[in-house]
Amino acid sequence: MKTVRRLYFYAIAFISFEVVLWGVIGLIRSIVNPNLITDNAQALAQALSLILVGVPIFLVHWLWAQRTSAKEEEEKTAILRAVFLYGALFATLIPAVQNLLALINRTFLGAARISYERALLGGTQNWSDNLIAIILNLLLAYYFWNILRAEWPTLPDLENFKDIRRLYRYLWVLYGLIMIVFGAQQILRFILYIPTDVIGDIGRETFINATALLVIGAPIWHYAWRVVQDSLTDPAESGSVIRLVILYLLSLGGTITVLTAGGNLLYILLGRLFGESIPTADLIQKISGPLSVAIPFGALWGYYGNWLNLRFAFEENVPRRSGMKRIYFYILSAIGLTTAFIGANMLLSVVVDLLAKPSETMVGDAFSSQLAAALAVTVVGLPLWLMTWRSMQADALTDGDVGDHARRSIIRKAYLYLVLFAAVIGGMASAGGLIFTLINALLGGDKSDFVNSILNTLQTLVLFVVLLLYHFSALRKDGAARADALEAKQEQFSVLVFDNHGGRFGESVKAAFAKHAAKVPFKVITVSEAIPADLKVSAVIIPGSLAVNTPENVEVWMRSFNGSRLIVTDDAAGVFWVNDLGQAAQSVRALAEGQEVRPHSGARTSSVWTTVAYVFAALFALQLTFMLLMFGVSMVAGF
Amino acid sequence: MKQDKFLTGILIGIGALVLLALGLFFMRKDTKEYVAVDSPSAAVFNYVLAVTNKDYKTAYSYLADKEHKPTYEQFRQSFFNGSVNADNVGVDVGEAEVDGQDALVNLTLVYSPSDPFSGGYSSTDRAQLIQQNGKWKLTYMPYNFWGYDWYQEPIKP
Repeated sequence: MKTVRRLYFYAIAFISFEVVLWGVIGLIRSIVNPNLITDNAQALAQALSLILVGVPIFLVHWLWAQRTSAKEEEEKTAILRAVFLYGALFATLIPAVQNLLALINRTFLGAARISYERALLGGTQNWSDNLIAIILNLLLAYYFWNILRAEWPTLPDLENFKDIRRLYRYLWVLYGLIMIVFGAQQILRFILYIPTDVIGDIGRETFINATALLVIGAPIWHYAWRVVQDSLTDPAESGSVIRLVILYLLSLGGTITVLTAGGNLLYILLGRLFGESIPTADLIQKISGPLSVAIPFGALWGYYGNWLNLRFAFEENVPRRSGMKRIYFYILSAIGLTTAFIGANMLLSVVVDLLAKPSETMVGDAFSSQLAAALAVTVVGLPLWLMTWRSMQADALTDGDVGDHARRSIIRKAYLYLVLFAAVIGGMASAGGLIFTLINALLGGDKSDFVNSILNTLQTLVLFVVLLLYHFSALRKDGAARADALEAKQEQFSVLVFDNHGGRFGESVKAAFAKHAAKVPFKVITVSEAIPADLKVSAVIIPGSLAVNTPENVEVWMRSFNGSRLIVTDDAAGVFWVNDLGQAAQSVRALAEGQEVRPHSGARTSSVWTTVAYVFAALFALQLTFMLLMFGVSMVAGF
Repeated sequence: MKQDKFLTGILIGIGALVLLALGLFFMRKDTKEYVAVDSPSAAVFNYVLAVTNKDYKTAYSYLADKEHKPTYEQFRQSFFNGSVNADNVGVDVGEAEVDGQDALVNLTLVYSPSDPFSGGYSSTDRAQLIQQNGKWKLTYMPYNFWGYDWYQEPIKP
């Protein structure tokens, strides 16, 4: 309830301050700008209406938020408050930076006597427009910055604010990075541009725009990244999920872009090599595009790939570390396999064309273009797949813990089954196409290009079959792996289960173990039974109701037991299971008010995937409802 | 500190690229000159160059003397008020096809790329000229270099 109220107040405060800010900016711009030809009354009325409506609404909601935050600790440390404060800071600093970029861009263009229309942004603005926006946004940014600076030392619980601050910092890193990569790419594009007889200085603005991006983007990225790196001494920062996700995205994004650009480059060069008639100047012009993309993204890949490796090394838990690496490698392997498959298919298609209709194929640039494309795709995809797949396959074929974890990995299973799925579906489609062509020809249908069509479909089918057989054999090898070291460890780890429910608890444990830990031996003892003196176990499982009301014989035995104790929540009168102190306090409040507290029993909690499924179902239901609504409206409105 | 060196290296690399590009920027300054008007292509070349250099007097001299020819002031105003805007386009003047007193000149209009992955785009068009007193004069150019109301009968109320 409080969260919903909080969301309302902060959302209104955010929207209203933006309305006021841009209303004031619009008003001052219309007063200051001598070249702006507008209806002054309308411009003034518009700005005043935004200000007169926005200011009271903002004040009411923001002052309420400030008052409650000063009074209540829960409000002070709420995540929504952190989102609002850092969001407001972001929403004011970004426009300030964008306007500064526009100002610098136009200044550089003016110095080079190039039309402002060729500016990257703000081509139709002037210096006063940008200055007004910069000053007013910075003023508000300074206000919220002061609020945050005063807030931090007084926060009793820093977790929410730390999480949002982390996200805020990484957003700045990404923002600066986008500018620097784009700027570097444009600079390279300009360097590789060969002047021609074109009148009009086209292309010179590329350098100017790129320089403006770098002038702004480089300091932002460097500062933001330095702040992030300096914070890594805090384990919460170095081990954060956001950091991992960002590093994954940047490394994978860099890799994929470099390979795509590399493939394009190779295609152009091979085309020329195979005799495609293209003048040298045009060739350089063509390769400048992919080259200008590959170099900055290559640097991105190299730099952030290195940090990703360091992040992996930071993970002390070996299976978890291997799991993190696996995601990266299997994604690249999937991309490499798909590309290599398409390349092989294209190559075989060229061979089929040469065999079936050699005289038609060898005419003009089409053949060299086709062959160049096939080779380029294969040369990019095959090494990528081999490098990544062989590494993962080697792990899976290893004996011992490493091999067991690799073979059982859900990522590996998902990858293999996805490939098998694609191979079967693709094979079905190819086989269907082949049979259709044959039967159609037999029944007197269209026989033009019959041989070419049959051979092409056949080669596609063969490729899918090879894909299927190879990955199926990999899957079978995983299943047949003998001497499971992990299972051997499980068999030596015995467990004792105490039952105070007349056998029901023991039966539940038995069912759970059969599903999740079939190799672990366990023994069930009811509390009324005597505990054997020579009993040696590694862990004990007791129901929660027994933990809070332990019989003496069990208590004596437990005191001498040095192994692991696992307590399973169960239903017991007057016993409520809570997850943390916050929930405990809320439950006590409910009890004090005479409300019923729902006991947190051993009931199943929903898994993450169930939640994901619910979200997708809700989105789908929303879309369906919208479609039905539109259908209904169209029936009524008659369009 | 190995990572700091990598970062420093990246920033130094960017700085070097900027300096190299700066040098090329000044070296490649467009210094095209007017050519002798002995062909329709030359007339078009000079007209485009004059418009690009905002030398409206020279550009105006290449317009044909025909009915409803714009005055010099109207011609100039078309550029000032933005109805004719050649700031964002380049022109590559091609070959001419002469047919007696008339000529057509092939043009390639070149526009700057709008995204990092494209090489810009171009379109083809033609200029139309007639020969008057031994000189080639323009009667039509693509819209970036020509007012829509030039040589049009004024609309009567």
